[in-house]
Order: sequence, then structure tokens, then C-alpha cells
Amino acid sequence: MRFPMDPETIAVAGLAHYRDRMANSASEPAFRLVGLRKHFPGPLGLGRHEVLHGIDLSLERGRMLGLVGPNGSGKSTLLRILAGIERASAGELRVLGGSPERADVRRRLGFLPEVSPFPEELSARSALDLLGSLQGLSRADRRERVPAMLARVGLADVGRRTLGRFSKGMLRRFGLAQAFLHEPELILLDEPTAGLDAVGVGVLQELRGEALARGAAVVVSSHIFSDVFDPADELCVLIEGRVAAAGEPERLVADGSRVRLELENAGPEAVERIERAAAEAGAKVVSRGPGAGALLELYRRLGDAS
Amino acid sequence: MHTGLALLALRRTLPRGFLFFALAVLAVAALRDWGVSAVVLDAVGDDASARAFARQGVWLLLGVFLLPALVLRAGGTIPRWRRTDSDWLASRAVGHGTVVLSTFAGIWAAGAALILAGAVCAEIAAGGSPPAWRLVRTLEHPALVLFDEDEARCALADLADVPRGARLRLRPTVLPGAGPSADVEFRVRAGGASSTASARLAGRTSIELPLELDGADAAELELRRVAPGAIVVLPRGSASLLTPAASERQATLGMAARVLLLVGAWVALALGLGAWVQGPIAAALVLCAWLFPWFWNAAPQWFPGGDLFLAAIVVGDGLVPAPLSASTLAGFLACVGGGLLLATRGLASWRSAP
Repeated sequence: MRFPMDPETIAVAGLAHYRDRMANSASEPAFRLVGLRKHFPGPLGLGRHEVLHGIDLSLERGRMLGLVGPNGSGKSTLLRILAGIERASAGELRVLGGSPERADVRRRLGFLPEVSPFPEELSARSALDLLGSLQGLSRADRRERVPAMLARVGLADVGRRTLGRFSKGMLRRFGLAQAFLHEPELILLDEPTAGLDAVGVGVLQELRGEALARGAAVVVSSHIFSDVFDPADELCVLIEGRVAAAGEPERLVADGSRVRLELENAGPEAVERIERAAAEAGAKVVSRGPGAGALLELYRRLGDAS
Repeated sequence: MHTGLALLALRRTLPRGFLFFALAVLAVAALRDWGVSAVVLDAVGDDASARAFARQGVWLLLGVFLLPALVLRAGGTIPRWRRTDSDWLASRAVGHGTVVLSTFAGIWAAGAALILAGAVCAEIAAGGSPPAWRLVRTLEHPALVLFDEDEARCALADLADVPRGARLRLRPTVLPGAGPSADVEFRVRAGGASSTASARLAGRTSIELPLELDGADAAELELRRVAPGAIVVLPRGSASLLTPAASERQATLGMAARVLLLVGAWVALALGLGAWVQGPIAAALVLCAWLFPWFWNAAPQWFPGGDLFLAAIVVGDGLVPAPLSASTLAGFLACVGGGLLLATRGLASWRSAP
């Protein structure tokens, strides 16, 4: 299979690629958690620190779940348990039809950690090759995919540079590359936009869209609501280790009184008219600023001009 | 085993700065004039002594300056995984056993590279490799003393497996008596054969005699004073059995094999203990486990590297140390297996705090 492919090819070839692999497990959700608990030992091994208190959650394949919550709400721990890094203290956990402690399940997972702790001694190319081989990619596949994925995330020119000399943003892009390299069936992204520039966010959206198109499930955690609200099919709000709310994003905010409206081709006059209309409807515009893709659009305009 | 992980461990064990330091230490060892040590310590200063001191000195420098660093790195490996690497390592499709085994192989390979460099330096420093003698074993016998007596003798037993061309090395010494030195004749008799050597003794020295057994499995050793002089003492355990070795280079091979097994056992145990206690504590525990038997010469034969200091003394005497026994190899495998099992079990939890 040629890599990278255009979205249309991915939609067809990607689904064909997955058809066999998922034939026997199509009815299984990407993951299912029932009463999941996690605690860590307290200082000096005395007592215990409860992080997750009985989480019930599931996600179907081909859908995206947004995991939101304040700092310390247990989002990262939940993702680490799904990724097989942590062991749950209690409860039922099924990921891709099995336990994430099994290597054959982890082979079908992609994980972007919150920080970027990749081996800093290795060049981006060697590190991506190592991580791909640890996910079971053959040498031939790696030879084809590694340079293509580095180009995809905009790191082709610095492929020989060691990760220790990468900026934070470059490391996040590398993190995206390793999470999507082996075309996983479940992709877990912990705060993926933290440290990413506008171009990087664009790459993330593309990779995420392609993964969903080929039938993979995606979980994105963020403490920024707007990062996950638009693209997510489902939202889960975690507060102090408990699911405070879960469901479709529109339904979750239906009762809310604060909404974000993003306009295209909106000049100052159009914005003023909308503000007036809002006021007439009894609402108040409390902030006004560039939309999510505005910076990327600016880069493109400046690039074309130069 | 995963080659990529092993190479990463190798690279992390030998970062550029440490590699430069190691090469500098070995270069100094290779270029040093070891003949000076031979004159100061042995009062002989011939080429054979200089070669022996060169080989011994290079191995001691390697042991003191470089090998403990490997243990420290091995001990800190799993704590480092827990601190930073678990996020990319633990979510991969490889089992804990593979991760641990590959990492052990990488660190051990780094040790092997240092040992190989040390062996090359030892041979450069020695500068020559004529035929040599290999120490087979030390023979049991009572102490012999020529005080007022003119002669003393004892039996040397357990010589059934002695090959042809073997020699007996004696290490007598003198105490001031009727003069500062003593003229002594040494004779070994076995079956119908005998061999004799005479020497004027004025300190601790070595006497070598051909050992012709003529089919016998025991021999009689006799010391005879030729003229009045100092008191002569042949302490217990100062008779050794030697066989011919093709070259002195085998002394380096004997040391390299011992150090390789020792480093393998150290690395595996430090890796394993590092999964349960802090890295420096793991390294210290492993090193202490070897220091006690070394200090008291109490290491059992299966203990990998337990006879390292004795072997270094043998090399310093210009001899080739005895080959490694099967029990040492078994002990090495047991240490490695135990260490890797400890590490794998310790990785059941990659993180112990939120």
C-alpha cells in the first residue's frame, strides 16, 4: 500500500485494509469500561490515593470521543489504562475485544502521551523506525511509511536531527507521527494540541479524519472544551475521577447558555449586525476574536504573497 | 529479543562523554611504561615482568574506572523507564520479558565492547606474547621449613590428571638466620623419575621444576640445604601446577572471559534490583555482594568473577589463569536468570504514583 495516500484512496483502501482485520470483531466496541477504578499507594505506602472512581464508558468503532475535564480529573490516567501502561485497580476493561495488557491488543493501539518522552538520543527517523518496529511493522513497511509520515507531519527536513534537539512543537508533531504510523484501530491522544502550532493542528485534524474514515476510533483528551467539541461524536466530562456527564456534544450543551459561533467571510459590518440580532434575541456577545483556522489561513495568505 | 531496543540500551550505556572518558583511560593504560612498576614492585624489571604488570594494570584500571559505571547505569534503567520512558515504551506491542532481555543484551554488549577495548589495550601495553605457562591449580601440602635441619620433605598427592610437560612452581622465602641467603636444592621424585633445581634464595622468589611422574599419581617434594645460611620456608599452598600455554595472550583471554561473565551477572542483577529499589541503591547492593567474598577470598567457585582478583595476581605473575569451570558458567546463568526475572516481575506496575 502506498503511503501517504490521498483521502479518497484512504477511504477505499483503508476500509478494505480493515475489513478483514475487523470482520470478527465488528460488533465489539473499540473499548468498554464498567466500574473502572484506579488508585495509587499514598506516601510511604500508607493509605491510597483514589484517581478514578467507577468509570462506565464505551466507544464504538469509527467514532471520536472527546474527554474533557479540569487538571487532575483523571483523564491522563484513564488514557494510560486504555493504552495498557497502567493496570486498573478494579472494574471491567475491554479494549479492541481484549485486555490492553495483551501485546496483540496493544499492537492495534496508537497513543500520544501528554508529554513527549521519546528517546532523545535517536534521530527522528531512527526513533520512528524503532517505535514502528515495536508495534509490529515489518522492515519493508517501515522503509515506506517512516519517511512518508515524517513528511506528512512536516519533519522530513529534520529527520536526521536527534529528538533531544527538537522544539516542543516539533516533538508534538513527532508524537502524532508515531501514534498514527501503524494505522491503529484505536487512537488515544492526550492533550494533542498542547504546544502544536496552527499547521500542526491542521495535520492533526487531517490524520484524525483519515483514521475515522477508515473505521478507527479516536479518543482525544483536553481541558480545552473547544478542542474537542466540534470534531467529537461523543463527549465525556470527567471531574475528580468521576463521569460528570457523557453523550453527544450538542445534547450536553443544549441547556447551556454560553455558545461559540464561528463565521466565515465575516467583515466588521456583518459581525455588528449579528451582535445586534443577538441582543434583540436576549443574548449578549461577550468575546470576539479570530476563529480556530484563522491563523492557518493567515500563514497561507502570507505564504502565497511571498 | 528486540534488536532496536538492545541498540538503544547500548547507546544509552555508552554516551559520547563516557565513551571519550573510557577511551582516554584505556589509551593512558596502553601507552604507560609498565616496566617501571615491574622494577618497583618485583625488583626484577625484566621484559616478562613488565608484560605481566602491563596486562594486570590495564585490567585493574578497567575494573576500577569503567565497569562500576555500567552497573550504575543498569541499576538506573528501570527507574528511568518509570520516570519518562513508560509513556512510549509500555504501550508498545512487546512483552515485558522482551523489553528486559533486550535491554540487558544492550548493556551487556556495551560492557563487552569495553572489555574488548581493554583486551586490545592490554596487549598493546604488553607489547609481546611469547609462549607462557598456565596455572592449573595450587597443590595441597604442609609447610616445609629448613631451620636447623638440612632437609625436609612432603608428599604431593592428587596428580593423576597431570599432562605431559607440566611443571611445578614453588614460592619459597627466607628469614634471616646464619646469613642473609640460603643455597637450596629442590627435588621432585615420582615413580622412577626425578628432577632437581638449585637456587640461592634471598627473598620471596619462584623456582620451577619439570614434573615427570612416570605413571605415578603422587610425588615427593624434597628441600635440601647445600650450605649454611638463612632459614628457608615453603609456606602451605605455595606449590602450583603449570602446563604449557601457546602464548601469554591467553592471560588476557582468561581475564576477559572472567570480566565478561562478571559484568553480565552485575548488569542483570542491577537491572532486576532497580525495578524494586532506587537505581544507585541497586548498584551498591550488587557491588557489595561481590566485595565481601573478594575481601575474604571466600567466593564459591560458581560465583561469576569470584576469583577475579586471584586471576589478576596470577596474570601479574606472568602466568595464564586457569580456564573457567562449568560451575562458574552455571552461576553466571543463574545470576542473569534471577536478575531478569526480578526486573520482569517488577515491571508489573510501570508507575507507582499518580
